[in-house]
Amino acid sequence: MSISYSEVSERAKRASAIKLNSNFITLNSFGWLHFAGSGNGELVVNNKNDMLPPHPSIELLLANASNLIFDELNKITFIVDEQFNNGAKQQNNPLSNILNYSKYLDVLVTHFPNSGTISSSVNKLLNSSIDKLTATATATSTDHVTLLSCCSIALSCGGEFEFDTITDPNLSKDKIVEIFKSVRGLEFVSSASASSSSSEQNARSSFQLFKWETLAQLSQLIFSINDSNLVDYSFELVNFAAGELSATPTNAIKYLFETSMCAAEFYINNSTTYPSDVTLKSLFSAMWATIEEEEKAWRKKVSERSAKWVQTATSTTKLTHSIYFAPSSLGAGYGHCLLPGRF
Amino acid sequence: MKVRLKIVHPDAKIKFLNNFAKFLTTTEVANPPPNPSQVLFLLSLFPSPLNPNSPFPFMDSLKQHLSNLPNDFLSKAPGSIASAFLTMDFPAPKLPASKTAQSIALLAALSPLQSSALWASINKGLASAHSSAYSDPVKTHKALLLLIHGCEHLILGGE
Repeated sequence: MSISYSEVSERAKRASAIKLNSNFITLNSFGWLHFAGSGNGELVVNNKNDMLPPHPSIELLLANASNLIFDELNKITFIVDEQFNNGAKQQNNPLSNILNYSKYLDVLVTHFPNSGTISSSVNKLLNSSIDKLTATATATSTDHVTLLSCCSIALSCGGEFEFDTITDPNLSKDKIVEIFKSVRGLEFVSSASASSSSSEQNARSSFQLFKWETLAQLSQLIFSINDSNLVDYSFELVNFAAGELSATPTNAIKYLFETSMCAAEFYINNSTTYPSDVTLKSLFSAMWATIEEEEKAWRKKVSERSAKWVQTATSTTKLTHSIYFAPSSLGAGYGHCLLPGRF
Repeated sequence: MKVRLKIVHPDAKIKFLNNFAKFLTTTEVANPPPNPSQVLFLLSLFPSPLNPNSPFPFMDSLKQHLSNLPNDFLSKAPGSIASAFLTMDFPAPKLPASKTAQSIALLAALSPLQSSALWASINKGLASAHSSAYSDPVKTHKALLLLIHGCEHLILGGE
């Protein structure tokens, strides 16, 4: 059941008319109404349909949670030097760790849209990462991977640029274009102390993934306003994306296409001369070729999984059986306590 | 016990879990009652809803099954289990911390306490996370997991 905010407001008025002992009306995720205080962090709206911020104690928790996520993100390293490894167990895949923390932050942003601390923390993450990324010429490529991941996560969670010294919107846009160009210019450089080719390969793939994800999100910003100064650059960007296609890992292809599509659309809408379709055609033919390759790989994977279906079904039956009839597998208890009574 | 539960199509998985939850409602609970780890292990099979407007059909069946457990388990246990999760490791069957947090959030979502079962533990783990130099990183991380999975199970926050 979905419910509009105006209806929420109406119901709030009716509720106050019958003098229910509650100051706030809350809307939970199923769209149901229930009455509660504002202490539990639910989304709370007033009679004018304005979202109210969460209770300060909840804001404190959210600030701590987001800071914890940022700390964990900054701790993730891609290349572990062998001389410090001492044969210890290899750490978890750093890329999956980053994606996990990205998901956590996304969940917080989605479920607490009224939180000011989360959005300001995300903005802070974006701006500090961008500053480090553009300022430090001595940073290694592995540092860049972490910084790029922070940028892409912050942008995907709705982070906004804050330029303290710039008040003119046009200058802000120019600054974002500058950032875009410097991110585009980043290249992965092999580390001399890299322990293994696999960890370096992992870092390189992650670098490409986060670089293109950041560029895709930035391109939506810079190509959203008609600006004749960017026409040549947009065409150059399409050519650049076409050239990078073969060197881009498959998980980053989607973002490469988003970037080039954004630039191509901008070029077609703003170019005064008839656009040459050669580059666009080569880009789209390469895109289809990649999609076909992906489809082949997917079909192969599905057929392999289908072959395992019988084995899976057997395992599932065993699982059910073990819960009910083989209590030792779950420790003493559940198997004994469940009797097929009415079954 | 090592079980591989890989089902290709998500709909097939949900259908299977729904049937499984219905089957659970047809069972009767006898003594000795299951310990919390076993209940969490069972709940770990069930995912969190993908869409807030379409909760999974197995929720009612699971609720019915859990309300049959003795000692008023469903209304009393979630808060205690969430609190214990921060400070100790549960006995076998073992689950990864993320899966345990997911199961606890599902248990809280099924209980009448809902978010109240989790907030105390989340507060305990996260309130002093950055102000105290002595905060336990494991406890803080577990509190974060409870917060995230509580949101995913639609009992914390609002979307």
